Amino acid sequence: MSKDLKFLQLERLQAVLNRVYKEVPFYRALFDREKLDPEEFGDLSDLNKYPFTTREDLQKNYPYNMFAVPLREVVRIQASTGTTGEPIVAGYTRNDLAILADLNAKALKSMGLTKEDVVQISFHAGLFSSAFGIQSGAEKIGASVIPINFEDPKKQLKILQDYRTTTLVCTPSYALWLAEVLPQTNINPNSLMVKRIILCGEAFTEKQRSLIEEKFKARVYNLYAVMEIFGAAVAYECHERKGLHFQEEHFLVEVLNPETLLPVKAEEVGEIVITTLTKEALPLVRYRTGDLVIIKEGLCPCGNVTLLTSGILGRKDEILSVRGIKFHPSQVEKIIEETTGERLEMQIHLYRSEGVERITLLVALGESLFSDSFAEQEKVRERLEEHLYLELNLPIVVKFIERSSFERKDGKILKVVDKR
Amino acid sequence: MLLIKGLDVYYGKLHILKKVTLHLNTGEIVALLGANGAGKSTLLKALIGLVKNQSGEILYQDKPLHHLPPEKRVSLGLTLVPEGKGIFKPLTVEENLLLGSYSWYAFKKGKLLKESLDEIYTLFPMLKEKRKQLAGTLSGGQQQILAIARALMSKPTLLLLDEPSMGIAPNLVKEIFQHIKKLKEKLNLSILIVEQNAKSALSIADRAYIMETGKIIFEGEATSIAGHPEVQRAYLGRDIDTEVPL
Repeated sequence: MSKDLKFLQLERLQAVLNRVYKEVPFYRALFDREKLDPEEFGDLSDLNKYPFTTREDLQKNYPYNMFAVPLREVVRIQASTGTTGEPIVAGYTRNDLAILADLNAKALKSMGLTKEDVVQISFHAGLFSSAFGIQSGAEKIGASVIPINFEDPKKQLKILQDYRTTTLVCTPSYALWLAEVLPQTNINPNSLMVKRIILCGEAFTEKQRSLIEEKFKARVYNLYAVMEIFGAAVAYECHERKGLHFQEEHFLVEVLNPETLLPVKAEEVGEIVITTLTKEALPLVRYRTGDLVIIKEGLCPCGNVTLLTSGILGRKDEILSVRGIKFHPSQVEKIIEETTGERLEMQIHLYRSEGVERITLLVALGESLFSDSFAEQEKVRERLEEHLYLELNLPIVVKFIERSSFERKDGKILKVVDKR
Repeated sequence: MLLIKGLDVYYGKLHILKKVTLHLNTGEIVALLGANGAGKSTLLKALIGLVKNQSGEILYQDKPLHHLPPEKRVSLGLTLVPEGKGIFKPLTVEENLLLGSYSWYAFKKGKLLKESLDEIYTLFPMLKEKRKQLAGTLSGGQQQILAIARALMSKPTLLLLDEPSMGIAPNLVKEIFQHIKKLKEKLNLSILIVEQNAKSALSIADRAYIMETGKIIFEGEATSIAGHPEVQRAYLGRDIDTEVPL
């Protein structure tokens, strides 16, 4: 990292700490408890002493208590769907939105996007915040944007062909689904204009990348989004595609060992911890994203000197991310308890079919359910599916099974079986 | 070109500047805004070396400044135009200007001195007209221009302006600021400007910092700061809107 950048970070960090201490009761109490005085903050290394902010903190302060500005200065409010407990609410001031557009424009530009491009942004519900950010960035560049909010892959492909889309933005699982459906349509892949596909919202493997590239004959780019932090473009892959570049003028990024919470060396796995430097409405200090990456050594040939990491490898906690929607297994347990009135054992099966992520929930037959008639069971099952869909925004297939037939490891019932 | 890192200043036991960190690029106008007592003027005084009790780093063109006395700092290219102008009223305009050249003046440099004066007179024709007049007889706005012109006589690369609009008729404020902007463009000066008149300062600045009780609470592009509620809060210290019953 260059000296100038470090200096800019220090300057902005001081202002952020002073501001959150003054404006956010949560941080004031937290810093006071740890006997930290932001006025004493004189060097970037002082940040080590500061406590972390977690998802739970944001949930406890639902909805507006983490905001550092009065609500009348907030011009956009977005909330996460399907997280544990209360949703996480993110607010943006006018200035925040301008920066968000800048960040996205910078990321898209480095992927080669110009005003000649037609950008099809296809996200469903849970990923609105990323979609808006990318849209504003693309519009800033002057590209033609087609925002889409439905799932039918055949219609999506028709638009891809008819509107002569050059850039498709979606989640990896959706791109895989489209790749799967493509041969079933009468669209000739060679006739498509699409030349780049930007994937956002989930982790994906290099194998999946090459599969999508092969099917669409387009280059795949990775765009990293953290809804709580800023939405999309916290980090991005440039045209060299050597890894994720973090936008360090706006985010102070630490990569820490999730156990010891000490910085990891290059080529080691660590959790991304972010402190926002320019965000006004919802500044966060040392926010633990839960996303795991590997720091890469050396510089990217594109000449950008900011932190370079691998793509997101996965998550350090049990939080599951399916189609970009994040939820915790305990949340599913709670829904089961609320619906059936019993605390039943369960197992979540994640798998892919037709390229798209699917969830099957296996629930143990409890005593009361066991004795009920089949019709009665069926009613409970339907109620549970409906309840799950309403809470998590994900279609989940529920099956009742006997307790003995759960998949186990060392005698324990696994809560999650991930076969994606 | 100017980097201040973790600057602490005390007046006796009073902690005035608290780990202030800021930077200024070459050819940039940076506005320093904030309410009375925020520490803006102290920061300028610390930069020029008029405040003794300070710790932290000040780098100017990669040279550390914090151990240098004020006159050495002036030779390095810094100049302060103090609050209230600080011109010598019983002296003539030209004598005031000549005093500005003390950092490099020598008997043999008479020719250079004349050239410098001519330069100043082309920049500010008004001063040429009144060069034999006593400085005390100039109007407030003219005195301010004289103060800036005198600062330019030291051939600075970084101009520190403390409240240039103070005590000047509102219709002249705009003119002063246009002069400041012109200076930046013509001489490629970097300018750090402390101002109560936030709107005027932001109209010519590239970037701005907002200070509050000795610390910086906001940094950003001048265009994004203009009309920013944080500016209002920094000056008024509270949120008036919330106090008005609905």
